Amino acid sequence: MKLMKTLTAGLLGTAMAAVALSAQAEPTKVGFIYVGPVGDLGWTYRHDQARLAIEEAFGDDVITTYKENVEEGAAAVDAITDMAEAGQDIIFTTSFGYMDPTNQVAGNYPNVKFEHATGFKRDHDNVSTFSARFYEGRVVQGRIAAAMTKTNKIGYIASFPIPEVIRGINAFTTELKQNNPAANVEIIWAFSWFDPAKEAGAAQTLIDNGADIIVQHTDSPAAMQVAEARGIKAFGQASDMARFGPNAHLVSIVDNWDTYYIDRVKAVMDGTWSSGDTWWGLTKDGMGGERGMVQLSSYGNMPDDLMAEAKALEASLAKGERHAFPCPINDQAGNLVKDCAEGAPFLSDLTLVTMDFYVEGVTGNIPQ
Amino acid sequence: MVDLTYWLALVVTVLNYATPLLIAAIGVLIVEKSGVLNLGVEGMMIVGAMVGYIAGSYLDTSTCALMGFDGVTCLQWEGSLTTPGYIASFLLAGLAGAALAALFAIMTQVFSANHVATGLGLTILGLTVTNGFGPDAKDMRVESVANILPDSWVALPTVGRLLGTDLLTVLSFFFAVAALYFLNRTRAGMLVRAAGENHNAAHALGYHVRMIRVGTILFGGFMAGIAGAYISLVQLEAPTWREGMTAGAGWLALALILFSTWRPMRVVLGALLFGLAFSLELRLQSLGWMPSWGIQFVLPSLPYLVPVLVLVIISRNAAMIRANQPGSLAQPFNPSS
Amino acid sequence: MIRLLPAKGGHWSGALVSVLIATLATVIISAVVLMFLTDKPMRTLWELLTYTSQGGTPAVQWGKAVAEGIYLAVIALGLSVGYKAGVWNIGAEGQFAAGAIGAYLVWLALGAPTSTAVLPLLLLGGVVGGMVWAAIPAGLRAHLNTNELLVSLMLVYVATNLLTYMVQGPVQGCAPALDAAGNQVGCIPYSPAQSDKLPDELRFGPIVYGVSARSGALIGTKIHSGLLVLGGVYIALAAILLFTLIGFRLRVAQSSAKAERFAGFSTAVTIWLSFLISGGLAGLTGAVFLMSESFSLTVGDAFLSNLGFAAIVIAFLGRLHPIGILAAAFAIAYINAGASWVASQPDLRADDSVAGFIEAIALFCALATAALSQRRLVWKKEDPAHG
Repeated sequence: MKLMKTLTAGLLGTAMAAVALSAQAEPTKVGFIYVGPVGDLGWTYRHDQARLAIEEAFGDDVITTYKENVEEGAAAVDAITDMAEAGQDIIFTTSFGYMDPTNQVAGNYPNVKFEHATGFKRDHDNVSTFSARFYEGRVVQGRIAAAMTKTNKIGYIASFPIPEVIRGINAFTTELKQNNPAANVEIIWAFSWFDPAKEAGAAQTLIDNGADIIVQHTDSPAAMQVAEARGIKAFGQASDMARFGPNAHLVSIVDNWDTYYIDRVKAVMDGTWSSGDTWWGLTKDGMGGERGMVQLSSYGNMPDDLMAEAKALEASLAKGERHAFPCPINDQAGNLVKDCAEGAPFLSDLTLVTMDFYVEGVTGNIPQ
Repeated sequence: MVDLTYWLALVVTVLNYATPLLIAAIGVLIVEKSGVLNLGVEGMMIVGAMVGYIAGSYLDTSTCALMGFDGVTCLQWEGSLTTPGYIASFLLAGLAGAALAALFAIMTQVFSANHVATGLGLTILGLTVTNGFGPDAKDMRVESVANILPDSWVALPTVGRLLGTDLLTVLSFFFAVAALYFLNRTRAGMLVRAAGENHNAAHALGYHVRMIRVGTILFGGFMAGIAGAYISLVQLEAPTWREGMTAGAGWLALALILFSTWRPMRVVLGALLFGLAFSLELRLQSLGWMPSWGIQFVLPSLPYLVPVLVLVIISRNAAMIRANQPGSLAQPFNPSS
Repeated sequence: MIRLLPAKGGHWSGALVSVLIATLATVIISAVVLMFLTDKPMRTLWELLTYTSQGGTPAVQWGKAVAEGIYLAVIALGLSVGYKAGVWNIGAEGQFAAGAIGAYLVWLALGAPTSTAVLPLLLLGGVVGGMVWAAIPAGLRAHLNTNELLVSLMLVYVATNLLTYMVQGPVQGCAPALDAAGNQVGCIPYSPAQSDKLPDELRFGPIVYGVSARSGALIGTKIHSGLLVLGGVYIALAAILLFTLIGFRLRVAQSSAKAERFAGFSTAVTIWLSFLISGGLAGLTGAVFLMSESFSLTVGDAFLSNLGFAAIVIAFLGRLHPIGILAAAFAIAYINAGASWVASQPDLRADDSVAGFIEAIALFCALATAALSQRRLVWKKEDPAHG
């Protein structure tokens, strides 16, 4: 319960403050703005895990503060302003919708660093942006789904029709179709990132329509629970959701912000922080280097040979031997996508960032 | 794809959404029959949803024993809520709803505060208490609710979905029949109706109007609490908690009573109708022929547009409303003696 | 000894006593509740009440409280007219949204101009938008006898969905995506979706600035020129209600046949007036909010920040009186802004929902003591019979 959490956090805070005083060093203050509740078990939960990782890494040298359930509108301006006013040295704003509020507030506080997740706008040189190549995990899921489905019908719960989500649908479907041309994907749009009622309702509808595997690009574990209750399989999102579907869970795409956050806080402490854009996949460099922002949880509920195949695919994606969108790739109408037509080996980052089309094999239209 | 299985699934979904509305509305019906208008249903439901969810997650053997389920565990630690744990969770949720209702009773019956203002205040209080201080999903331990019927039956193709229907769904229809019987065939029910029909006359006849009303208010809170717990524990097939997850269901229960013109059997009809409006959203989207304004605007608004529409139709028949509306509903009651 | 004797129609001394008791009870109960919700209740309470002078930039902190206080006061004053007459509009949240939509549609209908000259038209669009949305429950109640309380509330959900649909469809905007050379190569839809922004010429800019204690930069506060419009409207309506004959008739109007003759308004007129005034004010506030804080329409949940519901509480806290409403609105807005400040403090880490708690506690204390304002305070020598 939140109450207990507040109490413990407070007690720890008091102890830490006492230590900090005796050390005579001013700790670095790190603020977080969360879009959902810390306990959503998905998106915000993973950001909060990274906050805790910062505390663990720097101990008494940092104090972290967070604010949850901050709406992505005018309310965000107030919340971020308060964080800056209260003396935070670096503020992580962890949702796309904070893009304009972050830049607006950043202009008023040049001596505070701002880190905006999944955005691309850096109007001031105290703003950085970062995001993860979640779609790399979708490729692995597509491969697994192709082999596991018996009804040849996959249910896909999507949040909003934005490039990040469309990339996921495209990456998943391409890999699925290549390995099992008979399989089809049915998409339901929840028009929400976190709405357990809608996510569960979408899962129920998809299963009633014959889907035997559920893919979700929304944040709560509700769909996984429904899959478990109905005895079918599902992929988790944002955090490891195996616990909610002991018999249903295949693999989750897990966000891992720990390394990046620790790097950035360290940079503030050292005075080496500078504005930039970071986009890490399974590895930092996409060539098999250090672990990046995307990670796959433990695999389960599938045959051993399939698991081995999926792990090999994961490894080759991590090493850059295999790209998530290798050419040739056609759009829905069957025309070669521009990058491929120009002879590129795979789709460029620019195409991915602005992706607003379905590739061949995806049925239906992107909601307008 | 649209075959018997599909239609049965739709029926189950409709029942799923209708159940909490029906349970809460039966409570509202009794409260209003005694002449009290409590607009705090939404607040009592959301508190019930939260408490039911916490109880489901944290009940252990000792708490369970305290509540009279001696020697049985409420939770199988695989995370499934067993029958005793299920009953205990719903009882606690009902008590939480009743506790909030008690506040309403004190305010209106002791301090003579305005019914409408206090009811609205109760809704705001309930939403506030649960907003920000609700449980965290990551501490959750209840992951499913056990079926009443053997799992092998529920796993049957086609009819299995129907057999997996929750106990409370079945009970909710009995609640409606029981409310009908209570109001028309029992002495207590007669007293409730007397207090609501004409409180001055009831008072003159020596009945304790205030005590009767305190009783019905508490009952209404209990039912709202149970209805809320149904939403968090059962409705989604995945026990879950989210702030504001009742999404206006408490208001829909109040609308149901107006629609039913205070007659229990029409409450059932209305609940099924409202339930259908809820279940259409994602199902019609998945049929694929809706334009985007239909998917994004009309369908999500149906649960709120349908009640408005039926209220308009019902309200035109003013004579029928007058014939059934409790005469003293929400009227100030100031006995001189 | 001091006594409270019944006074028909109420008396200022009784009202004062009830406000004092309610305030005291609120502070005591809030302090007790804070002890359970935070580990440093006294520090938290102290910061919550004095945050405007606690190391932040005072002008910025005051700005938040003043802006929210005025929004709340204007909406609540509109609602109070109906509440006095027994007309229950609890859908101001939806009318607020409709007002913002109205203002934005006027801007689009005019061809998305960038001239300040059309600014009054946008405000008018807000008023009309709110009135149109309020006209639905009003018309249904006045002519078809449909319960206005439930209909107005249901329409909040519908307005939220309408806003969400509009920004995901007809008026969806996007942010330009630039390549390395700074050329626009595409347009990325916002998530959550939002419309294109109003141009600078149609925005209400800050009229009070403060030098940030944190960065030394000159920062525009939330006190913007649109608040002058709202403040003017508030003063005008309050003056009408308090000092004019029509105001008097509005104040005594009831939505029942009995009071009809007394006030001189028919039931239907009372219902229509109540809804048009409250809807129009909520809509105007929505338009000002759009033009001063949000600049674009966004999905319903992100655009709406509960002002329409909080205003219901304000109306009751202020005892449906223009002066009371103003006081209650600023008190609640001050605490809301304080809670946000407290939640951002590295060493306090209190949850900002404490503000909601205090608001609910205040409401119940106010309701429980409401009956006292129907009494008057008298100083009486000790009654010898009881001596």
